Amino acid sequence: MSTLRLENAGFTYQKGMPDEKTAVSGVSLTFEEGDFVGIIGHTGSGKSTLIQMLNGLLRPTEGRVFIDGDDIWDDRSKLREKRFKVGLVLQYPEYQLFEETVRKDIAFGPKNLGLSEEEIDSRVREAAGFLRIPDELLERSPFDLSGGEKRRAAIAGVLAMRPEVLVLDEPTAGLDPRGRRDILDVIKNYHETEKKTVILVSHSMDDVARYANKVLVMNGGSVLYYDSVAEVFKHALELRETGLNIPTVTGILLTLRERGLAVDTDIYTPDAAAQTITETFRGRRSE
Amino acid sequence: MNNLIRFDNVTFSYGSRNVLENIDLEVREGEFLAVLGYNGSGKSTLAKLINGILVPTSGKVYVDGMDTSDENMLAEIRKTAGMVFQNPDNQIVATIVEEDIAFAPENLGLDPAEIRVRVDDAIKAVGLEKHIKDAPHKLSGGQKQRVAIAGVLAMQPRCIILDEPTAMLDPKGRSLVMGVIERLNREKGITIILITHFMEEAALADRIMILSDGRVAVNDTPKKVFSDRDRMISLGLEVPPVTELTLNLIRNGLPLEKDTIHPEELIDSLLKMKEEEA
Repeated sequence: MSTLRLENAGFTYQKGMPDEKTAVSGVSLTFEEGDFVGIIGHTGSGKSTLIQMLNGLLRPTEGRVFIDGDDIWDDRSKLREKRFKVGLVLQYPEYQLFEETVRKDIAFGPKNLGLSEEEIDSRVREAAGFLRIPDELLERSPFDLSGGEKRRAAIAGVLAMRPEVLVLDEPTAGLDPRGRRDILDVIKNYHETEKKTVILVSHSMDDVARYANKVLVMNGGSVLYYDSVAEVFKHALELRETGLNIPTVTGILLTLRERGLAVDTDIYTPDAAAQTITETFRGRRSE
Repeated sequence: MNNLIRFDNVTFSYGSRNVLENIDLEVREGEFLAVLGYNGSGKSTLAKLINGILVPTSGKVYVDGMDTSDENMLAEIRKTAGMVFQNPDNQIVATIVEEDIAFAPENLGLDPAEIRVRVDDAIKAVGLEKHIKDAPHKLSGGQKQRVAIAGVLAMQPRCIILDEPTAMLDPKGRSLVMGVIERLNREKGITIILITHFMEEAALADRIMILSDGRVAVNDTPKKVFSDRDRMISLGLEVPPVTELTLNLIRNGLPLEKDTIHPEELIDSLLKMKEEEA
């Protein structure tokens, strides 16, 4: 069982200095094994700081972070090993590609683990498979790839470390619609096959609603909501009042209800929205 | 109406590869044109051809009648057509917002009093009056992008080309930037060419042009463009979520129009149907 738990965790930049700034405070929550969690919140809500604490890139200035029950900062000699359990894909990860070939780039992490050639090769093939990177691309320079391919190669490099938890910060930023769908489908497929925890930071409520099973809403450095997708979008009105984006269809349903149409509003996918709207007209259609 | 931008059979190649092929395009003064297409379809190249950052391999691009391949015209062309890029951090040069906005007019050698007026007008147009003395790096992404737009506005251009200006912004920053773009178009009559990957943004334009493989695949009104969902998917694009929902409702038998592209349209049609039913 691989769980990631935060206990009253917080982070203050420039702590003790006149310009200190608290980005995250008092966060206590657990990411259970196998969850697909979407993290949403405004710019400056603490999302990026939070995920950097998850794999030890930032050391919390208050509280603790546990992986599999161990405080990751307890024993510095084990920090490296613990942080490898959490794979972090930063924004625009393709800027970090550097090797001569895609294969070498994906192999970089496993190689540093001191694995055998066969093991490295099998991990590269596995990671490339998840990201749907065809064999002929593996021998190309990462700089010859398209934007979407580059990003898939960069994510494969993280998966090749076989993390227990995969954290992605805005993996679809700047991609075209097909590129966005491809990346999200690949992540969904990885989650379904491997049953490992996936944490996805996204600005798109529509994407979070479609792919995640839980939602964490950050606001002003603390947790506003952390629950199943259905429960969180029951608060669509409050979310909208805090200026957060809600799924397009939820917004439409809320307006319809405000203006007197008896539709359900705790709905966040186009299919379910179509169903509740259709039902309000059923009376007439069955006449 | 007068054509402010005209592409006359333009081809652009990097080496032997044609990035754009035989493009004919006319943009009227005051028009809001959205340009869509998958990554690598030639959108950014098209933008750079408009204000002479690139010149065509063959064919001609005219801005208000000026040929972009005529170097003597470049300064005038760039005053007429200003450009805003995706990453606001790459476009800000000064350490104080107002100085950044004043940068271009200063380089035009304008009178300081005139510069003051232009900077104040520009900052007001993007709604950042309160931040005029701030350091740009302390602003959010959306605010920085609005500073970049103000910097272009201070040149008093007749056309602004924006290359994915909201790609790096959060939803709030995105909607504020789109609000500014719409206002500049409606209230100041500035011609807008918006390159974007967001269908909801393209739905706000007067016309959508879709590039595919360096050619113009579609050139029509948003309603016409988004009513053909299958074609959009085959071009690597999608339709706005509200259109997706409307198509589902039509499949369920509700009498709606498949060219519904704005949430208000769907809401109004549904409420009207309910009234008629009562």
